Amino acid sequence: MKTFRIIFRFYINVFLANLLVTFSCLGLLKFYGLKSHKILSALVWYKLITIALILYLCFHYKMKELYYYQNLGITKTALIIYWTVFDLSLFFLLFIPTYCYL
Amino acid sequence: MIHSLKVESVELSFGEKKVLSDIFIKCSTHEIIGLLGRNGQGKTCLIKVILGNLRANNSFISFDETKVVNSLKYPNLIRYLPQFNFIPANLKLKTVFEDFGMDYEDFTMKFPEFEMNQTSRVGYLSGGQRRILEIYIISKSATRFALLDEPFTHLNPLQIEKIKDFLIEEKSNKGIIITDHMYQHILDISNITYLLKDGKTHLIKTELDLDRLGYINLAWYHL
Repeated sequence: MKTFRIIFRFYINVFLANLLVTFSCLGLLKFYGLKSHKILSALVWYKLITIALILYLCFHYKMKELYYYQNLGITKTALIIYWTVFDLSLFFLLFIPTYCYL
Repeated sequence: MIHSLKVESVELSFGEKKVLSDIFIKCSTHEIIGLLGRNGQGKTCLIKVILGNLRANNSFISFDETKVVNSLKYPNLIRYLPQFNFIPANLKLKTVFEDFGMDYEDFTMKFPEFEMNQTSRVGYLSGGQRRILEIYIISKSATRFALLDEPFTHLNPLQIEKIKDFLIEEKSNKGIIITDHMYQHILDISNITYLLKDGKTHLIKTELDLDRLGYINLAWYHL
């Protein structure tokens, strides 16, 4: 539980950026309405690429702080996996209902 | 119980340049091992190899005779103080102590100047205070070995003396490997000191060895 709390604290640094990307995807879905099935794969790729980009930038600017997490036994790989799983889960949790109820 | 950390057969090169080639370091509980070396001799690289953050061409890192590849994955074995500030500035001191499962009261008993700071954020501390906090967290937390990279940076002479006493006290619980350019402090507190030169570790007994190996020039000190 403590480990999750610490990982979430790291994730909160970029939560807003990831949420904005997710909302922009939902906005595009709404905008295209019934034709949105044509851009579905593009939106998923957009989300995946931005996750990678935000991760890269975050790790670049917070490189020194990574030792804090490593000293607590949380590796860089663990941070990447938990972050990606959480963010993608949130994305699909909002994306699928939005698409279904268009 | 006495634990041991052995670093052997480390070979590291970047392209044609051989950085480390003949390394042997052994650290046990109750010991402080000093590691000296000029800039660019590979001290930080060696530390990263020990932690598993840098892959060497060859290395054998063992804890109690058991080979460990990525030791920083196991904070109960080893913790690392980098030469820069690593605790996120936005964290409160009490959060840091909770994360590492440590008691803030013990800290203030040792360093009373932190008494009122429990709810302060790390970023509001002075450079020296921040360094003391980091040294304390790494050295006092529950781990068998602590690797301290330039701990005396940012500290004033009084703080350095206090930290030296603290480390001597703390070695009763763990093994400590310490590297810094303030060699006199290292010689004061170390049980064994090595100098890293030309990719090899050289055992140091006195300042004369450091002079002989070109790390210091004693003639300048006696002018």
